[in-house]
Amino acid sequence: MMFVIRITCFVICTGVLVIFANANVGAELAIATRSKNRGKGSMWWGIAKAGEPNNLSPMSPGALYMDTSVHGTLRRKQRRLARENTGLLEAIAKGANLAINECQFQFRNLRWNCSTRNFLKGKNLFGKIVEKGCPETAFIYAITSAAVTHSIARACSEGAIETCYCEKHYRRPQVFSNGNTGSVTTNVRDFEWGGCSDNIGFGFDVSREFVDTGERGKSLREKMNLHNNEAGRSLVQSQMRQECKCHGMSGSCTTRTCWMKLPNFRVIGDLLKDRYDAATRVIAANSGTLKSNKAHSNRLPKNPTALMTNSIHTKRENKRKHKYGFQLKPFNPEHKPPGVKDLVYYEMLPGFCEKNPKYGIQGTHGRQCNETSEGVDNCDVMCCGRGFHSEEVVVVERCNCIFHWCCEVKCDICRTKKKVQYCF
Amino acid sequence: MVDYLPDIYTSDESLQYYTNEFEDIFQESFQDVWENCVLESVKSIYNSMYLCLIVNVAFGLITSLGLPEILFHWLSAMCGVYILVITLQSTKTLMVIYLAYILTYLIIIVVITLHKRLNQTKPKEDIKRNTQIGFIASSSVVQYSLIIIFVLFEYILLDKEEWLEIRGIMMVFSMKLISLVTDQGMNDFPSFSEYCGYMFSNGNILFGPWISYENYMYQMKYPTRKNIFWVLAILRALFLAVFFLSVSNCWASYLISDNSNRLLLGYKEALSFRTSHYFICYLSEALILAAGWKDNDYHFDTETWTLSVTDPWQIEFPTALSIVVINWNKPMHAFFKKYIYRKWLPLGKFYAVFVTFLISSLFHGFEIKVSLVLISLGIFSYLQVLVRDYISQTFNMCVKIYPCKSCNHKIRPSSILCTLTKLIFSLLTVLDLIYLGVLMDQSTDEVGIYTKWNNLYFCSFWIMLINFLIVK
Repeated sequence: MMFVIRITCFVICTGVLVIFANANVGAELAIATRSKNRGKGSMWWGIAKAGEPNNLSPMSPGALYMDTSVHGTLRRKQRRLARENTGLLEAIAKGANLAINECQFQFRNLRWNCSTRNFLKGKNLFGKIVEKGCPETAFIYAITSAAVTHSIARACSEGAIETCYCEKHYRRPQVFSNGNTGSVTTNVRDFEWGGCSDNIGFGFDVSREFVDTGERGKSLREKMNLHNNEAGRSLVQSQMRQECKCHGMSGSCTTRTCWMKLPNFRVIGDLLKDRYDAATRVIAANSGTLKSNKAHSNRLPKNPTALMTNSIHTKRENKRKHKYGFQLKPFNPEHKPPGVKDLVYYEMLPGFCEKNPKYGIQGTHGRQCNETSEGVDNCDVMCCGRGFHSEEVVVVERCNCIFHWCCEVKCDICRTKKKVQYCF
Repeated sequence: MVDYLPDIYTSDESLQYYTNEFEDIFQESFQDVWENCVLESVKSIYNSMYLCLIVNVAFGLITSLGLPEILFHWLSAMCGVYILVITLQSTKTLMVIYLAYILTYLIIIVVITLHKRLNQTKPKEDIKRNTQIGFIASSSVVQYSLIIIFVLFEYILLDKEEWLEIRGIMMVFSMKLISLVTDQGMNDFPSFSEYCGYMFSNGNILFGPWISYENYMYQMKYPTRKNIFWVLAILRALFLAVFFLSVSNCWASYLISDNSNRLLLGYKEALSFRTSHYFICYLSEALILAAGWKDNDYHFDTETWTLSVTDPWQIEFPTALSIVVINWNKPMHAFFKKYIYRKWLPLGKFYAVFVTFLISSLFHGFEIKVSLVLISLGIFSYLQVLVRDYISQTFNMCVKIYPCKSCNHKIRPSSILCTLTKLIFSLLTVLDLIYLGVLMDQSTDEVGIYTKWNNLYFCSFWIMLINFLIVK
């Protein structure tokens, strides 16, 4: 009985606290939106932290949209999109979290470790580093837009977004398989076998509308952001596909069934990390209007899944191209111009060794490193030559695992002492 | 209710919390597979098949009223044509099939009339020429010409995709044609309406199973009564079809992860192929039952609705390769046994088996991987029979594939030694099935046959070699 009372008391208290906290938040947000800072187009990243289901009551669908703090981070167009597509915001919040996680995983051993901060104080989620046009920023933009595309597409096939193409499109396929228009059907026949082939297209389109909407300026910086956003999306699109399988007598293909194959987001994270390692430094170059940008001409996906949506993209692409009077050219003229899936940047930061509040860099002081590693997490590299100290830590691990027939693995729990190194 | 606590997120613990929670996203969960794969696959097959099923059920119901002969044949043909139209995607393949069906009839009829006329007018002088013409309509010539056409289709006339799309249909066509020519002969060759009714028969035009002309006519003469058992039999077959489809598309790759060892990976691919085959078999069973045909033996048994096409149990837990071959596609096996194996049997058992599998592979257009699989299957299964006979004789054990009835082996079938030997043979058969099954996966076209078999260390060839040495 006492226990129950105690719990109720706790719940009430936290409830009150929450209300207070939220009131403050609203005030802070108002300031945040008023203050001019760069990277304003990426304020939506903040909703990553709002959709967390760790709160006192489970979130009902649409609750996220009503949330004032979320509302404040969005632009008008983003708000309209969220209003028109129920469930979209949840998917985007999920995607943003996915991006943060993946970013932190990919950079766990590097000097810059993709740390996030409390966005509510009027600052960007990833800190001031996004005000710079450096490779790290390029990665952040690419991975967030990739993750949003990914999670929208996933939500789409799960039916969590009501306005998804998928459901609409789904009733159509018989038109194609009826064969009433002979010659036309042969071109599109491969992927018109029903099922949900278009949710990638939806994810791509909506992500583009939502993510790119902030980049309205005409500077090199906006162009860079757009390019990197697009790189992230294209990578997801190229990795995400519909898989089909033939069925028929002894391996013939009388009928076939299709289903969605969603890639592991880790795969996309790995690919983007590779792109980050090979990012192209660019400069703005004025160019004749006739010359088409090579980067955009090869963005036709090899995957025929996007055959239908693709034509729309290219049209829109052209419009966008004319909006800016310049193109991205490689800083080193001997390098190839950046492709659609390449990350681009135009400036480097002096380094990530020391704390630098100007750029929001936390430095590598106190970071864990590995004495014996030969990679980038080696202590000499990580600590920038400042040296490190070792600590002994007791680690609790599962050990002596034995496989019991069948099918159980039994392990002991061992406590071992391990040496862990931290930078000075 | 405000459900939102901002300051929690600044601490490191909350970061840890995220990581744990979102770790799951990287693993495809049961729920994901169910939603993204199983439901999608079922929707996908529903879209392409529900019309076929409706047509067949309608046909089954209408024919149970007892239609006049000519109407029955034409209804059957029209339904079959309609099914072809809604299933095939390109007009080209559709045209190819119509041409094949109609031209074949014309050729055969021309040959037959020529034959008859010559017989009537100059019975004595032209006996030689006569037999030559008669020969053209005989079943072996039909076989050879079909084979040539199929190989041409595979390699010259059609794109690979187009050929793959219609290959199954053409195989059913050729089985029907050969059995028709062999059974009916020239004097009793069916009329055009009968021919169309049988060849375009809506029950088995897409996926088989092959039924004889006699069986086809049986349903016309004595229409089956449709009852609750009929509905249950269709539903059972459909359920099994969908089940095996989901295993083939989804569960196989969900249960066996990509980083297991190569034998398991091979098993996954082979399982996926086998279950895809069961899916087709049960789908074909559902379709032909819906159209009203059933096993001739139970034709007048209103409570038994069955037309067994395959037996997954015997294939998944095989006792011998030859059992697998028999149960893989029972009607097809019956066809090959009756029309090809028997014909070549005078040459000797081995040659008969070999030629049967060779012809079977030729009917697949002599595509390399299918031919390799089929011919190895023939040789492996034959060797296995020999080895088991040999062991049975030398050690006086009861381990023959088909247990002998009147023999008095010293080691009884219930003994441990006997069970163990059988178990070993079962395991070897499973290995063979993996070895052959991996080739049928779609990835073979990219990786190549050699790499695929090399991955499995050419295990079946070694088994075969050992078998061969034992027999020698």
